[in-house]
Amino acid sequence: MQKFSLQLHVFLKLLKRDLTVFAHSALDNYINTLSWVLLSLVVYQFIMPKMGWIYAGDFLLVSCVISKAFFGIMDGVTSMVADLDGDKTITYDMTLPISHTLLFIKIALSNAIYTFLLSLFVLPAGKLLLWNYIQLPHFNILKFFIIMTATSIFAGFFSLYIIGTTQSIMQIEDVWSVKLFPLFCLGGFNFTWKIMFQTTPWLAYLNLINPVMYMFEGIRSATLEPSISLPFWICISFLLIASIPMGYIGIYLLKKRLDAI
Amino acid sequence: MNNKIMLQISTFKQLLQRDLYIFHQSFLHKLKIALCWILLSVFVTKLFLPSMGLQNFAPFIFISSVISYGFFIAMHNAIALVEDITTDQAILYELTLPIPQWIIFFKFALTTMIQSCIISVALIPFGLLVLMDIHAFPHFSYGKFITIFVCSSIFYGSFSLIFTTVLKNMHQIDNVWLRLIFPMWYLGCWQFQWKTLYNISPILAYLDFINPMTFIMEASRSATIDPVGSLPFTFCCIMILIYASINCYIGIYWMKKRLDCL
Repeated sequence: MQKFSLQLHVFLKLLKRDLTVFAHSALDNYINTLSWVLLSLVVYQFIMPKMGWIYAGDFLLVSCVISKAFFGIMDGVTSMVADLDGDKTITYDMTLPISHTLLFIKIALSNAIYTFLLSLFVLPAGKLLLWNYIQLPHFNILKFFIIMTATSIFAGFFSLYIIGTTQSIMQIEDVWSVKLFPLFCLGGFNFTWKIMFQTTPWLAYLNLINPVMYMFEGIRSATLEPSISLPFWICISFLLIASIPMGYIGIYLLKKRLDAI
Repeated sequence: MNNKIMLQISTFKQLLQRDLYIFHQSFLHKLKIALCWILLSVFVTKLFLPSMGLQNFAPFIFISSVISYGFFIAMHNAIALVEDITTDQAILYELTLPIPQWIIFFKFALTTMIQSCIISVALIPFGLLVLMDIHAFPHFSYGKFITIFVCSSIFYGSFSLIFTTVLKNMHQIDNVWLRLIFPMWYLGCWQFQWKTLYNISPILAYLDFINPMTFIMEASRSATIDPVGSLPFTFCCIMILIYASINCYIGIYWMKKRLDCL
């Protein structure tokens, strides 16, 4: 029992350290996020409707929230892969009185919290920037927090999977292009699953294994007209269930790579 | 005098050959990455965006993406150079060679230009395969198309020098990416026409002339999709070359300053 409380104590200390590091670069991160949200929103709210786009900025704003949550993990992934490829400072963490599994779970949670804090900022920022244009009449705050939490948890464990499967820092470009972008692009950043189903049903069914699609559908269900999206609880369930194999594979590969016990 | 010039030309040629040899080795990998981004974007635009109101938008996105891909190659090369400057400084060896130091930076721009041109051209047949069932480019002009590819590549080459000087160290990649590159690319008429922006706000449209990407995108569409709805082709090419000359001059000046050159 004492051992467990010691492990928990170390776990919390390490998590706190990671969040302190995040806090140091928080201002830069928020300015970058703001710049990206502002540009995307302005283009989709004012210019794209003139090109024929039928949805306004609110559709894009909620997609931006998920994009940030999904791509946000890459900061943690890149620094972790660089560390494994170079100094291996993680080996110090591995000597601490905490089980290696718990240590890797800490990495996932730390990435999840980082991405949660960054993406949570997107919606209020968008609302503040385009106050009257962003209405969100179907916004449900409880569902919004639930999907954000589920998305971040998945993203956190998915980051472990990415770290585990990326052998060197030179492969980071491949991760972006071959793993993340296809999931993101087919996940429905600017279209819904129902539209995909109407156009190419086979691809829509295949896309049901794409977790990013559940992120986009889930947040649309929580913030926009729920009838345009897949059922909310299906999205949540899938994301949470999909986190388990991602975390399991990631931890297994990391333990193997670092000769952990 | 002649001997000296011959030596300089020979050194320049050797350095360029070396860079292109390295590029040759990674060409297929770079092409694979480019294809992932561009073909998927075109595929999604072609299949799903018509239901979102954007009819026949895939050729538009395809040509914008292909012509702007060199912009990202320029960024990639700039990152590699900054990484070198902040760590091993292998460039210092090149600066000791019997060649004026500004030529080393010019060679860097030229390498980026060639890489950008080769990758972008290699993307075209793959994109055309995705778009083969639609009449994608009704106003295609070979002459204009080749001209804009060359002009845009010259611009990207010169802009890679600016990227390198703006990027002080590797920690700033995100900042430069989201505060400089993304705004230039996204507001540079990547997915809308300048004319549409002008109809919404003439002031913003004229302000967009500060952004050289606007001229690159508009000229590429003028050469392929819509010569009437785009900015005049020749005007765009002239503006791109003016921007490229300014970038080249300022870029080399800043690079010399940064590396304490003579």
